[in-house]
Amino acid sequence: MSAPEPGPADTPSARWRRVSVLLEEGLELTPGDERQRWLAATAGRDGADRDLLAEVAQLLAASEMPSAALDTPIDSRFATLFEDRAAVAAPAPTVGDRVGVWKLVAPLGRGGMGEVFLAERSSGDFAQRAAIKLLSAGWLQPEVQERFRQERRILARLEHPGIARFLDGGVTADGTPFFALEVVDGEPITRYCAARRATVCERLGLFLEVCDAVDYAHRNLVVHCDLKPSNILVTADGHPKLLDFGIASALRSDEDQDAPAGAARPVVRALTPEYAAPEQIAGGPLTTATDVYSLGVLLHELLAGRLPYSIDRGAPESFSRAILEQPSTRPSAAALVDASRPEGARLARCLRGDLDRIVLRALAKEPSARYRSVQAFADDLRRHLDGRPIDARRDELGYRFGKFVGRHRFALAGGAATFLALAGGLVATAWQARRAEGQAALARQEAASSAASLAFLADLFAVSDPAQAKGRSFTDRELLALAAERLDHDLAGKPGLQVPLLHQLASIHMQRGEYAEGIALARREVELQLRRFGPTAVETARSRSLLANLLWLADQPAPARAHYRAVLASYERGGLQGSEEYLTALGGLATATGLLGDSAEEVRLKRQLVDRTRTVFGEESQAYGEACQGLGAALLRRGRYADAEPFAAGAAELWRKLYGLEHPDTLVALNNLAILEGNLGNGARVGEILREVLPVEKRIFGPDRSDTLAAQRLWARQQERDADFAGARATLAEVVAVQRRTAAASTNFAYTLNQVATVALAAGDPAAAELAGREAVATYQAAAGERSSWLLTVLGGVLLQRGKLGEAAALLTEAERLEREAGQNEGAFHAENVHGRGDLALHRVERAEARRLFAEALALWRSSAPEGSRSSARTLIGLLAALDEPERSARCRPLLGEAAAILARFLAPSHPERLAVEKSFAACPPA
Amino acid sequence: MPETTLLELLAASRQGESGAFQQALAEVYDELRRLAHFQRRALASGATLSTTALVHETFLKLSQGQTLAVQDRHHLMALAARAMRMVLVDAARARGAEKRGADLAVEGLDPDLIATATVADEMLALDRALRRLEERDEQLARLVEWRYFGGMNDRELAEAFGRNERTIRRDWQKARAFLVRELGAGSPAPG
Repeated sequence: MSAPEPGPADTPSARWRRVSVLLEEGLELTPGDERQRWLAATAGRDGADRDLLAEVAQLLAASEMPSAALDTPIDSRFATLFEDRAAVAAPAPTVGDRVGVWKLVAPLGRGGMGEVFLAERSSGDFAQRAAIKLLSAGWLQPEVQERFRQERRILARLEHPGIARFLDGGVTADGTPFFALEVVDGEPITRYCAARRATVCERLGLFLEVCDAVDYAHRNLVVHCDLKPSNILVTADGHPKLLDFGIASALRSDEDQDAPAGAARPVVRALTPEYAAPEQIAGGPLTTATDVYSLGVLLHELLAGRLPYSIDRGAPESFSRAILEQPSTRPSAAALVDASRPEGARLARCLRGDLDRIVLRALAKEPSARYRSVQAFADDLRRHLDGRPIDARRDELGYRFGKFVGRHRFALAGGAATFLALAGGLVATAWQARRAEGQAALARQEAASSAASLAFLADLFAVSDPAQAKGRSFTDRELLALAAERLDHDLAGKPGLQVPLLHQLASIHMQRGEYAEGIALARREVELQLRRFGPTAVETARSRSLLANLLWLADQPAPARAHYRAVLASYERGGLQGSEEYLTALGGLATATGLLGDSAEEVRLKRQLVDRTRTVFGEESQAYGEACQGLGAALLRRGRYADAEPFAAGAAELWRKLYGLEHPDTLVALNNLAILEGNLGNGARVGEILREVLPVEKRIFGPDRSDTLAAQRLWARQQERDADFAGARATLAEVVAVQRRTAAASTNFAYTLNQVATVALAAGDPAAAELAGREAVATYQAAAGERSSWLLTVLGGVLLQRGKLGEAAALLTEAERLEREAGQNEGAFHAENVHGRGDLALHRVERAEARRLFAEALALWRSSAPEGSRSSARTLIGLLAALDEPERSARCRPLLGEAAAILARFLAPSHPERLAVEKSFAACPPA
Repeated sequence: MPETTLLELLAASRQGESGAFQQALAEVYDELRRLAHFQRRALASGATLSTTALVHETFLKLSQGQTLAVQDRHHLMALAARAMRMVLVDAARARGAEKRGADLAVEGLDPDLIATATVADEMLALDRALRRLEERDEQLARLVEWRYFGGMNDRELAEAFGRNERTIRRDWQKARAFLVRELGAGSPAPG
């Protein structure tokens, strides 16, 4: 599209006004022929501005295209950004309606996800019953439905006596997803046990059966995420059967999976909050550990007769707060609470010890502190039943941490935790837990003073009582403001109490994203500490650390950095280099430094962080893994691939060890590692990684998720480098098939086609390359409304091979113009274009021009990819071809030697491109 | 936040007082985010708010149940819509930032392996496209903002813009065509 140079009067808005008039006219017409005729007629008018009309045509075409982003109400599309999903009223299904092959016979109830019906299907003389779950309209998003279809296949494979059979699933005519499940006649497990006054042993026996069923599903990569008594029915034969397996995860959309923060949302809304795990409330990734937690709640209830929290059922926030913040009660203590249970004391004695520990381990707030698997959970219970020592005792320390963190979450929230979570750094709770380690004294002190602060806040919250507030209810914000005000009155002159309260208030503001308010409070806190302890005291440093975190979050990295430095200096003076607080501040300093653009220093600090987390937490800690990942990313940003590699590899291996291969974090980390290895020319490693990862990604992510497609394209690139051209083309054909269906008008698809072209060219099939290259250019243009200089360059190169010099010249010139207009005069893409034009000159036997261009391209390569790339090897060869004798003979060995060395890094020995260069090198005249 | 302050700000900003608009916007933004935060916390109890409802609740909260002058009402709705856009874009940015642990995936990646857009990216792309529309036709961009982020219907828009509903629908079609084209551009061209 050659746009004329815009004149001075042709500002975007002036131009738009002219476009707008025509567009309005066109929009009045019926889409299709009528508009086309009008366009043609208008173009024929005198003085018609073709360029303008082209834009109008483009806009008219766009007006006829569906757009998921614009046509979906913002609620259903972007509400996930709030980790929420809008509820949309669905037409209510009724008895007598047909759903797939099923006929709704009677309503069974209504759950969080939608209506449940008893249904029948009859074919001939055979009748089958099913429980049909119709999901409410909130689940209708297309991406959810796609996910639902994939998951359905997995569910259909689950076959276990303890799991209600998944019979059928589909989507009704109006798009409502439904599941047909085996009808189970039974009683919720808790009611069953209560009604029969089952003994502890009997309860444990039933619970272990439940565990077996859950474990079976986990082995089949299905998590439940909504385990609760009403989903666990004990049938007449006395065995439990689980309902609704995998339904929660089937309804997670792709973005939900992409983004751990949103992962739990749609599910959380549906599930019964009593049994939800903290990560379901807080929005962490849902894993098998989520089910371990819910099973822990269930076991607590089975043993103690009550939930592990005390919850005010009237208060909407009560559940989430309890689950996130309240330490779980020990079953033994809980058993004592209920005065109506005369056997309470006896039961408490029976539960005290092992069972308490087992339950609490399952109920750890932090997923990684729970049992690794449901099987491990069940094994520990069996050990207890057999009278063997249980595993949970080994982690007495961790157990204490859980309690500490639960109790002090409020007070600690402003410390490492929130900051790191926001920084995308270390997982907060792991650090919080560690904070307690070795700092019992500090903790006790803090507990004492925070108790006073909490009481004070509680007093404040009583203000929200309507009677006291004279009919006026206070918002959180007003309460916070009031709290800050009261600091000066009720706590005046008591800095020992003011400081923890300021700390809490600042932390609350930080969590709420109100950084300015948080900063003001944190500053006051720091001032008080300075007066009490002086500038170098550890106490001052702790307050300063919170201030630094807030400043960093408020996008003020410069003052944040200064404070972090002061913090670190204080800790060093206090001999606290091994403390979590020190490492937190070090991470903060590194991040702030990076933000300020000093990437060399950032790398140095992150390296320190890696070394120290290794010493403090060990090589198998999440903290160490995150530190490695951070350093790897920082090195990568500086283009230091080789240095980044061990850290990226280390992190990927650690995730595999901690989470297993089937975890999205592990898969993405391995994908990234493969890319890095590819850039380093470690083809064998790329193949090794992708061969393992790809099938898992196809299964876990589905065949059309971007990660899977990216991995496949990477795999195709490697296959090509390994001279497996047929394999590479087959892999790409798969990607093309998926994208043609799901993303036909995307730039991404254009890039895939471009890869098809380059592979075809390498495979010696320039005709196919031309076809794919043309489609790539056209696809990009359709998707982006402009041409890509890079794709034009590639197609130009293909056409040169086809001997179509004229068209190749036009494309390469156009690409050059586009680059010039975009101010692109360096980097790999520009080098490609200069090389392409050199190649064109060579084909035209303009050797001097070719020499000039190849030399220019070579200089560009040397600055953009000093270690050499496959394209730079081609430039070396081109340059040699453009030289005249005697220079040609003289430079034959150095030029081809370098090219051969570069290609040897990327290509398999049998690759024709490499063989050709090596052969020519061997034929060089002796130096 | 006493209601007089905001109303004063609204009046001041209507009279073109510089800074008043920004300040009023900041207030609305704060309130919206506070409510969104509350919504998140309340989620587990099954109580849900939609983004549109959120805008309306913000509106109600800030108008303190008073009957506002028409002008103030429109102004406040406009602020709420703008605030919603900002909140969503911020949330999208935060999402993006969270994922930059995937730094590795972005950096050093062959351009042909750039991943397809996520919802967060989509929101950012929409925001960019809207800014390009703003450069060309501010009124049209306002229309999109109010309709899309503020959840105003054609009738309300017609009233606010002082146009008839037909014109509003046509303007929306124009704006939509522009945005669809801009969004179609996908990831930026390499090179």
